[in-house]
Amino acid sequence: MTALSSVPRSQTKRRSTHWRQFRRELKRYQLGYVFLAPAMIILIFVDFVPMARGMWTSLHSFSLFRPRSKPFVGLQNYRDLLHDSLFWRALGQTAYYTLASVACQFLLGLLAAVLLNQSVRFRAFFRGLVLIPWVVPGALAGMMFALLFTSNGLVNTVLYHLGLTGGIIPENYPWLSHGSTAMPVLIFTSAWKGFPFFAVMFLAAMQAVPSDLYEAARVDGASKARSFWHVTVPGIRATMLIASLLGLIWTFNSIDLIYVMTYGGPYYSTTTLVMLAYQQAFGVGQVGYATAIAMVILVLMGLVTAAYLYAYRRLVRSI
Amino acid sequence: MTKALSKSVPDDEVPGSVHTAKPVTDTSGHRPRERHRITYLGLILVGCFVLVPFLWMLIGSFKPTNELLGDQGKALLSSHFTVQNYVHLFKQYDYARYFANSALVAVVTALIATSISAFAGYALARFRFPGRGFAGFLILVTQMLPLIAVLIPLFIWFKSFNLIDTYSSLFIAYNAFAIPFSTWMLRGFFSELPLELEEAARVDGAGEFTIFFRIVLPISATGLMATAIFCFILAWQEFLFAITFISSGSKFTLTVGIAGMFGRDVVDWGLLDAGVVISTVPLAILFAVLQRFLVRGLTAGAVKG
Repeated sequence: MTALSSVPRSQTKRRSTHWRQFRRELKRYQLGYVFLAPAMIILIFVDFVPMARGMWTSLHSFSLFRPRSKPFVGLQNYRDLLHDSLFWRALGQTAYYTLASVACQFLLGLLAAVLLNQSVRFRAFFRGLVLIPWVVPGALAGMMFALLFTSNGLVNTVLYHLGLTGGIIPENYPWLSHGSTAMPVLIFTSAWKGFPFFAVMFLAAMQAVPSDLYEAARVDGASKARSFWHVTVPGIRATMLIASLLGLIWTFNSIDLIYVMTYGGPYYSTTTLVMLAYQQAFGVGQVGYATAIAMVILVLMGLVTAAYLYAYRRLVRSI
Repeated sequence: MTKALSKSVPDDEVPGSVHTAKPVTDTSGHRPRERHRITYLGLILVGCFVLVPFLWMLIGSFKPTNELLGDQGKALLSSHFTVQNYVHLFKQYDYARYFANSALVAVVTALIATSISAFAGYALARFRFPGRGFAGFLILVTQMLPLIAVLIPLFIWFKSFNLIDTYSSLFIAYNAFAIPFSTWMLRGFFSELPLELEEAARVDGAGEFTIFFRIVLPISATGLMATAIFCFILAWQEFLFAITFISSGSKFTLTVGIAGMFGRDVVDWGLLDAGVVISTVPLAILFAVLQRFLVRGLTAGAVKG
């Protein structure tokens, strides 16, 4: 039997290939760590160690102007936070600013994506146009909108030419210098700056929805609105979730618009948690207290992210 | 029926082709032409929303300063066209310097982050090793880190190393957000490459480093480019680190320099308009042209995450 005699040889051959494969796998194992190492080392130094140090600092009474004496105070900074009315106010304003901004960004982005998803000419041109606010640095967008809302900026100019000033809106009304209008202006600016991200994300997701679903909906006599609601929306739901998570995180953490336009004012009416932490650290020099606020922000972000990831998992499983 | 034949016949004349049948009635109540008109109208409105702020800055930047004050400022167009604001901008402020500083910081950040992340992204995309999932998760989470939480400790740390008010402080600190982002983006690019090329090279006896440098990197040139452009933009836009770490005017980046102009006690509106125009418009146009790369980057991190 020829087959029998060939068995041992093929077995040794197979074992040696196994061995070679194993060694190769081992080498790729090690190489995985080698390739990952530079990035990880840098991240440890610029992200993880600073965060750990921040946690440690938040347990100390540490002023920038007295760097030599920083007594350990335990949770005192956190206890102070609970009794600081400004902290609670900033927390509420953060929620208002973040939720309202992201809601506007979301709706505007959806509208733009629906429009861009039609088969029209110059689509690439319009898509480029929509992207522009995203590439403008936040600090410059903030300045631009601050200039639009000055006492004789564009908004007051338009109101003036329409003859609308003097009634509900006083003439030469400085929008950013009043507590009641500063926050809405910030939200408007944030909507302008942030909606392109949503538009691009939604557009990409919409283009991935299989076209036979629309075909089927049309054959069944569904109107445009119905097919949007029953085909498009379910098709992009996962993207909606992820995009709004990222939008929330970015808006929550962003400081450049507020820094440039109001610096948290007037009278703290636009102070968000991040702004408060910044003011405490670099305005007042209370680094211990500021890092305590930063840690609260970290925990809040962690909770929001965890909730979203949970929702995302459930959504993906249900599809 | 052959394809060629069916192509030559208008769709609705092909017998028995259900899927190409045109809808007899459009239930939305508009004729297709009219619907397109609404789409165009909507797109133009969105376009106006995007562009009007720039236009207002552009108009203001060519007005003489005295015409920007009081009710005169409310004139939509000025009779006196002047480039004085732009001249002042370059004379009074080290404006070209701000621009160069921003470019330097952004280029260095893009180079460092893209090259380091290329290795990390490839490791996450291709190598199987214990802890890979955790490393990927860690990098993804870092992307969502509140920068204020690392800003204050980094400031204290840099201060003790005398790194405050140096470009290096930014080169180092910008990795905090650029590396997680670009690693994740490149991971997406690499995992979409066809495995066959690498397998073929492996069969030919090529080592992993050779494969990475000679095969993977060259065929992912677009991906590397997109990542670098994205990092460039992130660094170009950055404000918080720059305004905290940099204190001397000669090292200001564009965002910090322009924001500083806003804070002066005498507010020269025309100058500010000119400053905003010249720091946003050229790059906004450039990046809108590069949108192919940007769209890829914007969606890479999220959709595939």
